[in-house]
Formats: sequence, C-alpha cells, structure tokens
Amino acid sequence: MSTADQDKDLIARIAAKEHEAMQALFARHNVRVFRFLMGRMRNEAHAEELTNEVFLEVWKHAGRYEGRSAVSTWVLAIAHNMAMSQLRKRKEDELEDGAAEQVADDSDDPETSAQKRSKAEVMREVIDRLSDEHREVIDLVYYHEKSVREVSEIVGIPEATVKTRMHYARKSLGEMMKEAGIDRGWP
Amino acid sequence: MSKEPKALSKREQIEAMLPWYESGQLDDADAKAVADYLADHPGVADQLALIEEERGETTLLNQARGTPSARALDRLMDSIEAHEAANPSLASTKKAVWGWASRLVGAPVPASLQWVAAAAAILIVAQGVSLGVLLTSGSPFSSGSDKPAGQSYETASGPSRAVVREQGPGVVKGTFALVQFTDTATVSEINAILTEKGFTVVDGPKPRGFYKVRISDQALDNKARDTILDELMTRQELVSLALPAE
Repeated sequence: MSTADQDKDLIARIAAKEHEAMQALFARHNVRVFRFLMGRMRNEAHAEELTNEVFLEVWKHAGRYEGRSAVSTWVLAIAHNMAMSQLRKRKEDELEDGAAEQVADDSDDPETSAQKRSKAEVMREVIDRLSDEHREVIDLVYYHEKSVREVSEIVGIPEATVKTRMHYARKSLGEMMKEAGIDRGWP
Repeated sequence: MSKEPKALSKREQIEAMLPWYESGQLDDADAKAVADYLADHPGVADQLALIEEERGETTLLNQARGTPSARALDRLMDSIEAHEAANPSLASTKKAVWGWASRLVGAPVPASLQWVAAAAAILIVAQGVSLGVLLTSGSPFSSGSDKPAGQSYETASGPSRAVVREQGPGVVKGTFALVQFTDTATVSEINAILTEKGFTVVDGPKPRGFYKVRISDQALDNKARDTILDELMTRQELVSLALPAE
C-alpha cells in the first residue's frame, strides 16, 4: 500500500473514531503542518495551538474527506483556512486596538548584512521576509512539494494564479537578494 | 516588490512553470511546452539551478522552524476526548461498533471492510440477542406483558428453531463452545456456518476474539459435544479454534 493509500486508510479509520489512527496520522503529518503554520503565524505558541485545532478538525470531519486529493493536501487546506481566519482576526484586533504595533528594524542595512553572512543565509532571510502570500506559495511548492493543482486546492485560487503567484514570489526573492547585494542573474 | 499583473508573456509563462518542471510535477502537455521552449532558449534553463538552490534553502528554512512540543499529541488527544464528551452519542456508538468489528474479524480491519465487519458483528450478536427476545407463541411476553423468570423462549436462528429455556438473567440451557473464527472468514461465511449448524452466538467477543456459541439446545454428553467440536474444527478456513465451554 502506498503512503497516500495508507493516509486514506487512516482517514477512513478516523471517520470511524479510532484513536490509534488519529495518533498515526498526527505522527505522519504534524511536523509539516506545524512548520506550514509557523510560516503563516510567525509564532511558535500560535502555530502549535493551531496545529492542534487543525487535527481536531480532521477528527471531527474525517467523514467528509472524499479522497479526491492527497490527505496531506486536504490537511494543509484546513491549515491554510484556519491560519487565514486567525490572521484576519488578528488584523481586526489590531485595528480595534489602534495602529498596529510598529516593529523597529534595528538590523544592519541589507547590503552590510549580506557581507556578514553567506548567500544561503541571506536567501533564507529573504524568503522569510517575503509577503505572506509569496512565502506560502514558496513553502508549498518547494518544501511541501505540491503540484500546481494541489496548491490551487490548498490556497483556494485558480491554477493559473498559482503559477503567476509563484513566478512573482521568485521575482521578489531575486529582487530582494539583489537589494541585499547578491545578484543571481535573474530577474 | 514585484506586482502581479494579470497576463504573463510567453517567456514568463514558461518561467512560471519551471519550479514544477524541475521537480517533474507538470502534466505532459505543460512539460512538453517547457521542454520545447528551453530547447529554443537555452539561457532560460539556467534558472533550473536557481530553482534547485531556492528549494534547498526553503527546505532548510522550514526545518529551522522546529517541531511541535512533545506534549502536542497528548493535548490533541485531550481535545478529542473533550469533544467526544461533549458529543457522546455519535462518537461512542461509532467507536464501539468499530472496535467490536475489529475484534470480530481480527484487528486491524481494513477501512474498506469496516462496515462489512460491523454488519457481521451486528448479525452475529443479533443471533444472541434473539435468544432473549423471541418467545414461544402464546407466551405473555409476546403479547406485551413483562417477562417472568423461567419463561420458555424460542430462537429464530437455525433451521430447527430450537426451544431454549431461560432460567434467569443470562442463563441459557444447552451445550456451549468457545469459537475463534479465522482472520480471513467473511461475514457471509460465518453467518452461513452458524445457520448450517443451527448454532447461536450467545456472548462475545471475549478476549482473543472468542465467541460463546450454543451448539445444542440439549445438554449433550462429552462425547457428543466433542464430535461436534471436532467436526467444526475441520472447517479450518473459517474456524481457528473450538473449545468446550460451560
């Protein structure tokens, strides 16, 4: 049985309320879900809390899983939706509390920073500084190894938009690298 | 920062597909379109090395995000317990049926067979339940009166419709065996052998998947009982073990 089929079997057993199956599915996917949520929430405690809620949703709604996409795609779509909901709420709370807290950037200017660190380190920092949407698509394609169709399902956007978003995420990455003093030759 | 215009040029459309081309995740038509373009524009292929680099650093960045705490699974299971406690009927019923089914056909039951296994469990136990439900015709219980102790009952299982006398709660006359069915025995096969022999499941599943089966409504002597058990054990495709029981 393939890994994907094993996941589908676990979901069927979770729909039947088998705790052991839930534990097995959690063991297989919790780290990737947590890291995906860390990329969105930027806070370990929030990411862990949301990871818990994602798997609780899986437990409650496993019977709705139709098997048309990989279980990991379905779970990440739940994670995406929950993160979006939390981020919207966070923005509303910030608006209610007045101006959003301005985070002082006391780091070195990008070019100085690049001289101190390796190209790889700068690239990781730049990826981390991409917009939420761009960082998300980069994470899904490169780390979670999701296809165009799967990213479309997770994020809830058309496949053409997935390609466009990934293209501009990469362009932003290249431009930010250039601003940091590293010209990769593209764009 | 780059904007996201609605339309991409031909070159940009190809560039946009490169990350999935590099990982072999494009469908055939898109993969061919990219390959054809790269053949005519070899400079674009230089981006594949950049993509590989981006993939590597993204992976490292994600790994640096760490892992959930060691308590994460416990917290999840606590949340699930709390959810079940708030929704007891559905959760507990489903869990009981699945657990029951799993024990019947041998754990773990493949998901695709769980409803079948559950049906088997219900069928078999329904046989046992029928012992205490069906009365001989004309009995007070069949007309809706309370069930008196010592009432005469008739089973609906098996062709003989054997009469069983209940002498008190849980006490049924006859000769019994503990039977363990094979992991590969199907629902219909188990039901068929019970019907064929006129046997009735009266209890179970017990530890190690044994079921208490009434093999005769009469109190047979040991020789007659063992003959039945030996015959049952010849059905190796269905029966793993059959032992005498009180």
